[in-house]
Amino acid sequence: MKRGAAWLVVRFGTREYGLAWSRVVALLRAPRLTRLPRAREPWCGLVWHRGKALGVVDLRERLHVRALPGAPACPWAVVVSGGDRLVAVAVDGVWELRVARESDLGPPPPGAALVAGSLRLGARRVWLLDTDQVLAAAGAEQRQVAT
Amino acid sequence: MWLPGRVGSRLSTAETARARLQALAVEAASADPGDLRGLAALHTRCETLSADPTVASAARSAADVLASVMLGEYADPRAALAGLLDAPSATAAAPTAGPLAGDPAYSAEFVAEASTLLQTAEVNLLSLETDPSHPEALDAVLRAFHTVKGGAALVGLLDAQTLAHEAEGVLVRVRDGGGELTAAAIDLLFESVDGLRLLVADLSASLATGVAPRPATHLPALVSRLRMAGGSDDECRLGEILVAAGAATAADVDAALAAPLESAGERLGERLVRSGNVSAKEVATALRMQRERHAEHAAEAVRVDPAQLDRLLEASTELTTTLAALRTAPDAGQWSQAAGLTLARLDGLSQELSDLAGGLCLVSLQSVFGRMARLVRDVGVQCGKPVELVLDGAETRVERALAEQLADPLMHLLRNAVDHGLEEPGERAATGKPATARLELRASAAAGEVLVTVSDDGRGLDRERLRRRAVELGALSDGEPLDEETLVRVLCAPGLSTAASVTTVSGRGVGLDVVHRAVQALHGALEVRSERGLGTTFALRLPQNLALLDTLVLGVGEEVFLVAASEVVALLRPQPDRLREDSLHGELLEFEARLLPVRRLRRLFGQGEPTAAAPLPVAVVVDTPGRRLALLADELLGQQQVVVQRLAPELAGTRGIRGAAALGDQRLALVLDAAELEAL
Repeated sequence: MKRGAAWLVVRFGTREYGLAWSRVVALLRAPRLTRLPRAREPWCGLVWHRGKALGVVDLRERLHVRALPGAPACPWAVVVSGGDRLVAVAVDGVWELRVARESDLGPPPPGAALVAGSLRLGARRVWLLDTDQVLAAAGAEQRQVAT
Repeated sequence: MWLPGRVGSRLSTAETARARLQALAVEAASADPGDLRGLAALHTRCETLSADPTVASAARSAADVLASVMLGEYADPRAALAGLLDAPSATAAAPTAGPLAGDPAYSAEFVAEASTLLQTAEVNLLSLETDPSHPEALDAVLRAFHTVKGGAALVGLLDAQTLAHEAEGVLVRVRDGGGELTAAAIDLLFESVDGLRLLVADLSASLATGVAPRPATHLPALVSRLRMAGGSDDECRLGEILVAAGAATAADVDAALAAPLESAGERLGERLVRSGNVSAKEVATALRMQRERHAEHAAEAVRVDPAQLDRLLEASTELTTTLAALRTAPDAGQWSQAAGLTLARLDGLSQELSDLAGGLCLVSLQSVFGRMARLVRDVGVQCGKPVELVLDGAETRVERALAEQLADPLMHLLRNAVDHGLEEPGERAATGKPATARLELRASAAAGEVLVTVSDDGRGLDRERLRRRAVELGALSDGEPLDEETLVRVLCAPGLSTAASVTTVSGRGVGLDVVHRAVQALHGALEVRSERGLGTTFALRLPQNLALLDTLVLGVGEEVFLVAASEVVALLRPQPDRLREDSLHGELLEFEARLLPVRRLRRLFGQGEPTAAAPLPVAVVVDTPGRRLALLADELLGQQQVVVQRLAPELAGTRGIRGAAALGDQRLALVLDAAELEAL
């Protein structure tokens, strides 16, 4: 969480969260989600991206966010990089890209899972997700690439 | 604790870090100040680099400049970005290799660590002597030499650095598929360990006494032999060329090879010129000839990183599926004739690329067959049965993954054959067979299929005894005949063994079910032919391309599932009276006078119950190791050859799913794992 870092503001339900732009590889609008019914939470399915079947994580339960009534399971998928692999995060909306000023950055709410800090955007507050924690929650921790 | 390898890595990383920072500055100088995404990526790279103390300050400054550009704090952001070009070289720290060289504290730690590493190398070399293709042992020896090399460079022990480097070269060549680790090469590596031990001991003694280490006069010849074994045989060829051209005698070359090095890495040509036996011009001429020969050789073969080959295959697959999506696009019917012809041409090229990429990833079965020869010899000795193993078709080329995964099932089959299939020498003599038994391991490839057979001239299977045991285990109904088709299922029933005694080789009822599972995992089929008194043949039919799978496409609710066609025994629409509930076994399907367990895919994959008006489900009868199973789907949508992708490791545990495949319209379908579904 540094000054000058860019954040992609996304929505889970009606709440806004930030995903580190430097870790975002692709934005997929209304991807065709193949469900993985027996996968363990938070994995929910697979999407096809550049010749690869990518796992999709649904963080809404972890973030205690309710899905919007009638919304599709995966209106957007944000593909983030986890070291040597890619993971797609299902989100309800992709909102904007913002660069963080130091004065706008704040701490995470106490005890909040997956959140590394906050970003004030005028009267709004965006919770900044820790990409590594998100990947760890899905069991897809960033692995060191052997050198 | 100081670890030579880590410090060695830090030194090489410093140079890399400076180069990365400079490359980054060049990119930033030409970046568009309005390209937030590009600048954010550069910012992240700066932050990553700032963790390296050798460039930390310069990286942090660059990150600050990038942040200010992104925040619009510069009147002239282009000038600010261009200014980064001056920063890295001005502020990056200088290399630190020099000051550490010869430091007694580091040298003492190197002595301690190197001793441990050389011991590790020696232990693993012993393993390699038994099994030259043991990948873990090979890696362990490689790491040990690599780390010793790094530490030796750090403390200025150049002879040790050179020796470890050349030993590492031999192992790298083997690891990269450049040949077998021969007994002679293993001997050389043992010699290298001994040579390094002597050098480390000398360093240790000089640390204690303050007297400089003795010159290592014995090393140049060993280094030259390692270079030849490792493929860096320039010196050998140079010597041969000079002798052939009459510029030097063989004795001159041998003397130069054995001469002490004046500096680390001194080449043969330099040593010959220094000796005064050969002129610099003659060496230059010989070197030119050597380069020409190398160029000829390079034209025949190049080494490629396996990861790049994998990426090539992926890209080729992506092209195939993208073209398929184009062909099935809604407006495809309205394209002009020219567009249609272009697409047809693209299809042809894509197929050619796919074939070429697939061909590049094939390896021969030589290495696997070599291991089996050793195994049969050892098991034969252990069981007291003289065995002649006939190998045929080792040159058959298969996918690298298939060659790796074939070793285990073949090992089981050959062990079983020697231990149970073959009679004792006395028994063979009594039936008029030669005392030395004959085992045949053959491989061939045709029409995209690899056939591997293991045949013995032993006693053959005792079908009556097998039948009784199978009935006891519930793998066969009482009175059911044991025909060729049932034979595989019965033989592969878990726990089935008719061996009179358990030996260290086999007889625990584990083996053929493992073979069957392995063959099914490779999307292949196992067949058995046996004749009492004459012998048994196991045939493994495997796809030459593992990623390509012929499947049946099943519709289940809103989802699509694929099942390997090789596993499907029958397709039927069972009338309701053919399905029955059993309190012990759950739902069962009556099929060919047997009751098969049923798995309803709708229930297993959360698709809810079908409506009352829905047609009868389709029952797909599949063979799983030791058991048949009926999968109930809503409908059969067709048959399709697909490229199967394994799921990411964190998803690989999803029960009942073996992977995913694109269907051509960018839609993914899950590939079912029938064996796992049976256990659900």
